[in-house]
Amino acid sequence: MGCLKIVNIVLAAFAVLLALNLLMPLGPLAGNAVYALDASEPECHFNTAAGLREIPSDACCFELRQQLACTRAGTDIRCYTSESSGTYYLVNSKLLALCNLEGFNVKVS
Amino acid sequence: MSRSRNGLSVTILLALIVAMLFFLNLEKIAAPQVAAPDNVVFDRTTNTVQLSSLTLRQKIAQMIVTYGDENDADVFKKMLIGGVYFGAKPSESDYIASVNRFQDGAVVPFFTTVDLEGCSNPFENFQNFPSFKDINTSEEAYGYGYAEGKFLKETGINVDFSPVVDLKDDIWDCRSFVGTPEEIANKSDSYIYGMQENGVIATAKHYPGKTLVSRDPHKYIVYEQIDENDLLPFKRTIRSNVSAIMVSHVIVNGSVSSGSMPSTVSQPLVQGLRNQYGGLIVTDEINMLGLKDYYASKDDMYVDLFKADNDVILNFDSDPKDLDHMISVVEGAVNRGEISEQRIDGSVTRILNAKGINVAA
Repeated sequence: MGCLKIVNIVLAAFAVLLALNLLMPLGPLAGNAVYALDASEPECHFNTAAGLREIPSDACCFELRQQLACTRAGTDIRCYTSESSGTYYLVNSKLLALCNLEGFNVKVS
Repeated sequence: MSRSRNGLSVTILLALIVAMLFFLNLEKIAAPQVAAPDNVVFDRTTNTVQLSSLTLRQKIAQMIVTYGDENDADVFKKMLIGGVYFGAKPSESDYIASVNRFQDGAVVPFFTTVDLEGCSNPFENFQNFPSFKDINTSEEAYGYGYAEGKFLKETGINVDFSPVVDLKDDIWDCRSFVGTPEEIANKSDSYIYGMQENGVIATAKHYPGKTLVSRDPHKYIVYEQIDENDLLPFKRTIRSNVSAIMVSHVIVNGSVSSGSMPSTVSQPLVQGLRNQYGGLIVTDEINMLGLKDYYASKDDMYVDLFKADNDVILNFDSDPKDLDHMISVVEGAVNRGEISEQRIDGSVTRILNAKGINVAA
């Protein structure tokens, strides 16, 4: 009896989540939550031979989508069109969350 | 005993509800069901498409360039999406394979597009090109335009969203030519001429200028004052038949005004450009916050983008469901009379012509 009760509660929770997702997709909501919980500012820098240059966040998301790959570099993320290149983007997690929230679908390998 | 039977009944009922909701959710995320575009009349002997054979949805789809994920190639072919954009790939053969994946069996060929802008080079893993900043003369600009156009053609790319003809790049400091407005206009013109000699569409951007000026990186809606110098490279490239011009999201005033709206959705600005230019007018990417933050609803943004007389809408959200929704929103606006079908036909004619296809009414 107790076991059946647990199964029913789990099923009811699933039903509520699925119904909510039908009315309002939960993916973006989860993305919003991840973004809101990170208190830092989104940061994006472009590294060239002349040094790091700060790039506006929305332009950065557009550029990141076009890179060959993004990999973790300590607490930051490095995105590049060639692994051996001296030019690359260095961004923080908040920026990455912003890009994915805005539909730019940036993947970190 | 009866309590346990009641509990079991509730379990069965809940399981049925969960199963039903699960299938409804699946249906919601499934790719749109689109029939093969067998209705399109394309006479291959005369290379002519009969425009009236396309549905309104197919014509709207022709105006969209989206991110080219190969998994979506079949559905994009059915939807008659106008073009795909490629980011960086490991090798030349990867590009060729991707291009073929989209072009093989496409009823109307895709625009296959990239941003090759000197220091912003998606081919960097196997092919280097100089930064625009380091190009010193118009002759050099022509040479690089020609070499890059030849390379793009060999790779199967038919549109380059380049060059930046803005007078300054304060942000990356390498994406635009340097010099006086006259020198920048000359270099832009020569580069475009070299590229287009290879049959690759070049794009002068970002109209009307001052897109890459320094600003607060966390402020997305940008205001700029435009003067005649900013317009000079655009006027010059229009005179020498640049195939496409990309409009920015910056809100402008001065020599041209976007009327307090982002330039891409400003009817006075885009139609003002249209009055002096017969080529393709392309939007900057529409998910950028400089445009999106201006709107409470994305649907209103879609309608304004099409209303403003842009020919090609660059949308990196390549989810076929979202594109299908965008097409439905614009179709609704045409059916309500907010956008004329004649205006859509004008854009599709320019797009097909740019793809080298003749158009019959």
